[in-house]
Amino acid sequence: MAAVTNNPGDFLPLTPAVFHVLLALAGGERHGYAIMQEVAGSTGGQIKMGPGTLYGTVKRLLEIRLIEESDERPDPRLDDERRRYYRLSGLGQQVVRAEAQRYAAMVELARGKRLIDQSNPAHPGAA
Amino acid sequence: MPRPAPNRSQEWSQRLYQRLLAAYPRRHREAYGGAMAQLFRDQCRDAWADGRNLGLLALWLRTLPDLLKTSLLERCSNLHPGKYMADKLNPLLRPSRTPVYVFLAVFLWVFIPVFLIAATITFILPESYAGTCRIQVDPEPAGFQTNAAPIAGGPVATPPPYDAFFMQTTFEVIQSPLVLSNVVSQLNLNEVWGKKYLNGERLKTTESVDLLKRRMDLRPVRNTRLIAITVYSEDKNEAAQLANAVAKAYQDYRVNLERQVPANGLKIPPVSSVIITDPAYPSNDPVRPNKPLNLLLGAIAGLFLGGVAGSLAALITHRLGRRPQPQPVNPGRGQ
Repeated sequence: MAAVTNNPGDFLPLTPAVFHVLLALAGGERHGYAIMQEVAGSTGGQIKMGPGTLYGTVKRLLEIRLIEESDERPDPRLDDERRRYYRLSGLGQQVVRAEAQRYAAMVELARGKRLIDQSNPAHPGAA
Repeated sequence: MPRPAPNRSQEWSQRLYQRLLAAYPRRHREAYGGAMAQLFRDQCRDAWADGRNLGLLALWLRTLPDLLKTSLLERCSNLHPGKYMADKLNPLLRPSRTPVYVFLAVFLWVFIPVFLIAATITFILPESYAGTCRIQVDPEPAGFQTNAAPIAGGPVATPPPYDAFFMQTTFEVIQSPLVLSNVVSQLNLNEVWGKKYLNGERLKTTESVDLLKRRMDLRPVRNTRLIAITVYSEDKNEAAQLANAVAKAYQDYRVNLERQVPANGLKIPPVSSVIITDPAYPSNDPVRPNKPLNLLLGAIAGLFLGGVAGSLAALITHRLGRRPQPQPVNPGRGQ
């Protein structure tokens, strides 16, 4: 078992798969399929996680306690009661926030170098 | 909300994925196998709604590499559990490159494409059916018993000389335009095959004969005077029809020949020396491509090439790994 630290900086930088899963869970607790849909939706369908990648990531995030399994179940009439729900732990929230801030700082840096068009961020360097 | 019941393609995909989950370590399977299968079920439903069978195909094209990569990583992380937290995160993008991992990765990257190519070619190739008709061919007409005792007062039959090349000659005659042109005219192959292969333009008889000859296979049946006439076609009925027609055309040819040239001046009874013993019947099983054989050959080729490539890659990794490595500044970060 890996040693556990409570310092969010120790986890950075996150891999894209991990960051996307944590971002998806930042919006509230979700089951695997909802996480996958959230990631696909937020990336415009560019990242479609397969079951292997998703649950491999979930397993590791559970092991290092960035996420936890939710004991609460929604109304079974609304959803499949066999689904397992996950949510960010306190540490997970700190880590995803720290990673987002790291990205934001990098974006600022790129903007300062005029690598990102202010009016059209989708086309860096078009200015 | 009630969901539409999965159709056959979806059920088949889900069953296959359930089986493929065996690629993961048992502990991972026990913990997440059910959830993974459920997620795949959901993805199947979406893929079917998006594009029916093409949607499912696209899903499989995404899922197979994912399954291959992550099952390998799970197995490797079982063999070499990460010491630090970052190691627990990094395998998804930065797997530990041990020789065993490299061998398995390269082996699978070679084996799976080779096998998939063989399987794709096998299933893309048009199916071909065989029609086989067996005929018994005697050098002399039936009823002309060379070994029988001569009838008292009757003419004495002189047995024809032994012809060592009789079977070979027969094969050539069967494949000659003399026989096959009759098959072409009888089945109107110039027109039928012209429609099929030449956009409706009528074939010449020589072209049809040539085409028919290339589709034929003649073999002697061991220790008998039987000849198996096999004709291949994409249509099982046509294959059987052609084989029977070739046999009949050769039989007619021999009857005409024997009428024209009486052997040794004897009056030959009008019975053919060619007997159709087993007419051809349409078979439901295609003979080409031989799917099990092709898949087996693809697997063997994949195993061999994957083994060679994997061994080389593992050897190179092992040699590189023996060189002294610079110490990482912060090994806990796994960078």
